[in-house]
Amino acid sequence: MESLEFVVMLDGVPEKAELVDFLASLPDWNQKAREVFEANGNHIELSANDRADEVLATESESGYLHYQWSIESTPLSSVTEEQQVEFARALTAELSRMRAGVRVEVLANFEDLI
Amino acid sequence: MSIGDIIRVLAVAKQEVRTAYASADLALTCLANTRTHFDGATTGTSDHAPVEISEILVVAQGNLEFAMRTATLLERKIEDFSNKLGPGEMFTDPPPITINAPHGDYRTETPQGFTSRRFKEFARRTRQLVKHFSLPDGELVIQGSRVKRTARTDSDIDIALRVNDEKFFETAERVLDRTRPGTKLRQRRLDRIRHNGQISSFDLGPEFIELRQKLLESEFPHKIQFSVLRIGGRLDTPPYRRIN
Repeated sequence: MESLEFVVMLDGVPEKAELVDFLASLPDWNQKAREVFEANGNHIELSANDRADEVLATESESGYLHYQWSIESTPLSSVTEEQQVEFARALTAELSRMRAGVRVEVLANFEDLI
Repeated sequence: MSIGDIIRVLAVAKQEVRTAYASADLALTCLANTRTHFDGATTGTSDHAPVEISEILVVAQGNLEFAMRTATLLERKIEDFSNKLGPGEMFTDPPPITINAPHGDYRTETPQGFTSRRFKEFARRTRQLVKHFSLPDGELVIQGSRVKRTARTDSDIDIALRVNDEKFFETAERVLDRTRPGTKLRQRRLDRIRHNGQISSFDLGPEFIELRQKLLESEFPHKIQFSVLRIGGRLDTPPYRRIN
């Protein structure tokens, strides 16, 4: 069965602290631990990508695999696909506005709907 | 007062916050044990007083956990501020808090940030998590900074289930079965399976994270990283502290 979790791969934000503060400031986001949040019925974890690579991130077709950060979002309450799509869209829009040069990519079973 | 002096004062403040955190952690363990014994001793009595006292203990536990989260955030704020004031070499980071003094044997030592009793409880709950989710047999370990004793108060707790190739790829199949072919999500999962030899909590899915929260995060207020690791894979790196 396909599930509704999604990952936002993110590049162009040099400091994790900036990203943490940004996510913590989003409306209705509840910070549970340093890099752990809850929002829209999702458990969300921010992590540094251990496959990050500045060159591969820009040059290869699957460059998003090598972005600096991943934001993994897992629904823990009964959310619909429509709600998850909307949530992923809203999050990527916010992240794109965070600073110039930010690149975001949503990875999900429903990614074609984003 | 120079910037260097301010940074040194901040370093001391940061150390004090860490000490407060460690004390609160220890108090939390004592309180949890007290509640367990109290509940055990008063179960079955018709008096309402024990229930009320038990509820007060739960509230006290909640307050201690809140104090620990606040200490973690405060430590981060101090560090961010210090970093803005001057270059890294001016900032002398105090040694990490060690409730149990390091002895140098990672295999038997209690990981950093735990009392031995609290670690036993953590290990018991972790074994329960693996069993309830029907993960394959393997060596269940803690790795990373908690074992190397380089952790900060807000460091992750890294748990790994080390399994052989056969079990690793069986679990990987289970993950890929619920990932739509042709998606970038599938490509990322395949990439991590191939290059890292890793299946993360996120890959194991919502039911796993929900169970992990219920068993671990509810009692241990840290970011918990749980992965199934292929023995010999890129992320299968010692030292380990075995917990099964």
